[in-house]
Amino acid sequence: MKRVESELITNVEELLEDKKIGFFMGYENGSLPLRTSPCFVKEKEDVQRLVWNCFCTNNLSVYLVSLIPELPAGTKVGILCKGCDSRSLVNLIVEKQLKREDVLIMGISCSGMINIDKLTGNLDGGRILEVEENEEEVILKLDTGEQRFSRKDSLYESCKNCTHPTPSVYDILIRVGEHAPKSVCPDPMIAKFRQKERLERWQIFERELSRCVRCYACRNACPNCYCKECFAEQTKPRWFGLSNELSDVLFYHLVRILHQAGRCVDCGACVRACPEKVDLRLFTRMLVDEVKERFDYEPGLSPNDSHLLGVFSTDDTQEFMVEVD
Amino acid sequence: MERPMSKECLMYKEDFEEFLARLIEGHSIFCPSGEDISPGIKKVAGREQFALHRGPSHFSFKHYFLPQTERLFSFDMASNKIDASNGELDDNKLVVLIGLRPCDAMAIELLDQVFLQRGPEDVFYARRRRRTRIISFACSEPRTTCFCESVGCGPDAAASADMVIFALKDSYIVKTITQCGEELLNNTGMNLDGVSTEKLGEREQMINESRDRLEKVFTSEDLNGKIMDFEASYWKQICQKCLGCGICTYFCPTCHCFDIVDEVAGSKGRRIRSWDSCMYPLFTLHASGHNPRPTRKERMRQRIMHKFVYSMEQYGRRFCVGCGRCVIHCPVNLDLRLVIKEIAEGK
Repeated sequence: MKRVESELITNVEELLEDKKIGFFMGYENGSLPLRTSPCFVKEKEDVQRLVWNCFCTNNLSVYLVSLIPELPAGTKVGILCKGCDSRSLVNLIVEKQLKREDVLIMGISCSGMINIDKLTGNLDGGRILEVEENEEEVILKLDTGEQRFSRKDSLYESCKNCTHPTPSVYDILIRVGEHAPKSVCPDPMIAKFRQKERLERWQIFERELSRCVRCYACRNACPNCYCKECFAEQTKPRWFGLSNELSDVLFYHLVRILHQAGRCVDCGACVRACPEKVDLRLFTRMLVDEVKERFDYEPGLSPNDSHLLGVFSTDDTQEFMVEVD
Repeated sequence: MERPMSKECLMYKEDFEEFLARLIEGHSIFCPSGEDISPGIKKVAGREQFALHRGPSHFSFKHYFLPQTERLFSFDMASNKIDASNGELDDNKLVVLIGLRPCDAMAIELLDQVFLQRGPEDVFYARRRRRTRIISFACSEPRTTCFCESVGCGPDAAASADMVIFALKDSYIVKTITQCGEELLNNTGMNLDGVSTEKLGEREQMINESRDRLEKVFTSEDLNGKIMDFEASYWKQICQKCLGCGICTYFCPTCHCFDIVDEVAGSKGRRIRSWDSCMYPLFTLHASGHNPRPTRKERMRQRIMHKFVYSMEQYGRRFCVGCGRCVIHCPVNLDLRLVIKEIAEGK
């Protein structure tokens, strides 16, 4: 990881010095063990704060749409992108929220992000002093001893099912191992969910969404949710009630999630932001699989793509419009 | 709210079990839900449902006193009738909240300022609060996110508690703080001894160790020193990575803003109040379309200044108890402690 970090820092230093970018978004160490925090760098002396490790979970593309208009005109923004982050960014270009020339994409081929909860579940109050990672393991050094975790088993679900660990589009690429694209396979957990009886699916739905506290962190962490005025905040008309009762919560999530069809890149930012750990991927990943199955489409792979819901092809399956027995 | 009368006695493990059993038998008991996924504050039906958490619980007791959504009344305009009955509140049976940490007990003290002591009483809050007794547990193992001492609380603070329990290695010191607390203990009919000097020493050591483990990212001097400046340029800097979600406010045990709406279908409807958050754009949106807090900068400034400046002017108290929930849950690790440190250092 040290090599990657120094490559990253050297790149950003040069880009800032040569005025190729005026601003860079990456990650810095967070205030808590195993956490990183988005890091915005403008000055060369701040570049040393940048880090890269298996906890760089935020999808930084979420900041672009609101940030760019606030910067002096013509400022190019450098952004560190994992595979999923780059696809979010590309989708913003496809949706005309962002111009390709406004960003310099520093891609990083990603080995997947580690789910902190899987690491901290059994620490028995031991304090984390140091963290090491290699290709196979994450090693926590505690005041009570050492704990080793298999990297593969500790990944976030979205990372386990990642199809594009290497950014789809980039200006500079930092390589960490070989990460070729994979074809989309239905997420086995989601496939299992789909096989369940209707009632059981509803119960899972209910169990997950009844925990929602309506903090809107899922929406605000999502690069696709850039609407200047979200339907959740409209009052004329008010689309749904203010309560945290299931009917209102359900309405919010269904509408938000349906707006993700053909746009969601399964980066998992919504799940990671949720303080109640609602498994929102149950719904969004379903869309990803369906979009692939029905339209053979994966969003965010090329800025020249047409938006899935923005085009009509005579080959499109018609089941949505015509009931088929 | 009443004359303090402090008294201490000792419980061994079996006494404590007996005490819990008698409490559960005779009262409606609520405790914080575990680290599991069940939300909020749950009713304890049996001993096995009570467990202590390391540091503060997932949700604060705000969920109990100020439910996220509460029906104030229902109405029928056709028959001109209002129904303000409330099944839960009409029952005046004593409720015991148990398992709070000192930070959460202090948060209730602060909510009392808002809903009971200054200005008109909030009837819903008042009815819940008056029938409630609070048993808090001193904190022996704070989390890395805890900073209660920096904001004038502490691992052994009693605050709103009627009774504070110190869990030692193989025994418990029970300290009754109020007359209500003493009555509660007497009602269990427990026959308990006083506390030996040795046990008092054990307690002192526990609290001192707890204090030592507390993070001191900023100190109370930092808060007393530089006054937060409404016009300062740092707000723009601080809010930069904020996503604008409501986590920090919804998990905060002292944030108490709400919205009230009528939900009407035909002639029938209900008036409800639901939590609201100053981090949301709708929070201050005027009917004219003007929004005095148009961006995250103004909203974050409001949240922090309300906690540390306006509340001092209004109540003489800071509305932060150092529980660290906002630190734990912030999706971008925007740490309130560092924000305060930065402001204090004038960055």
